[in-house]
Amino acid sequence: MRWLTAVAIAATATYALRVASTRLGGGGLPPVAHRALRLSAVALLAAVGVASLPHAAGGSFSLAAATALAVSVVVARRRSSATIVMGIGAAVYGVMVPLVG
Amino acid sequence: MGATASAPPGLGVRVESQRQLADDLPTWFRWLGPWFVVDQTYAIVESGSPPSDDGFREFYLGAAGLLWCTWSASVAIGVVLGPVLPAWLPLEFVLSAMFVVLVVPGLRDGVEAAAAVVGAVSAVALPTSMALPVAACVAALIGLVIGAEDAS
Repeated sequence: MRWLTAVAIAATATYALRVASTRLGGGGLPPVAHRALRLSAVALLAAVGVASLPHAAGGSFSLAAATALAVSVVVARRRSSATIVMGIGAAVYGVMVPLVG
Repeated sequence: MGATASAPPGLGVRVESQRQLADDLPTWFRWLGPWFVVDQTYAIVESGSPPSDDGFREFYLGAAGLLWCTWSASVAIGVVLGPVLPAWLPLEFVLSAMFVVLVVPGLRDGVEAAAAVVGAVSAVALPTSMALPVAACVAALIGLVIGAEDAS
């Protein structure tokens, strides 16, 4: 019951934040601020993507993951579909892990 | 859906997403729309929505509804298939590849590419708890400087 209460509070707070930020994002901000926010959003998505990279044993940055990330970026730049990018990226990662770890 | 999002986006994504929902749109939509905001809806709407209000609502609700159904179905399939999938499948990279798909095709110019690099480098160079806010602040600062230069 305690967990259900916590989940309900978290969900309500998340939704309230989204609705409240509608007021913040709507109309009143200058174009420069919107530009900065868009760049901030791009940076955040990139950071989350890199932070979610699989790490090698011991927590070090994985060379296989870095290679697969680079290949995925190249494929994505060619406007490939999401399925193709994810498929090729995962395949490269799967091949690279036994080779370089 | 939002409460179950695996990687909640930051305030920049939130505010920019809400900006999409805020301009001269009906009240019911401004209350319903935020419920569907996650990284994926932001990226889809930012890259492909039509400019008119009516077209935007249809596009947003169509994309968000399809994403919600796919998300829920995928979670259910994952619960069933997850334990029986072979360990050699390299699925751990798919999450990162998904973020590549969200970010890379939508980059409009060199400044945005630089912001993405700042975010990526921050995630590697800084402690995990600091990477996201630092990346957001630095990228926002770059945007303000560039914007000020463009205005002058």
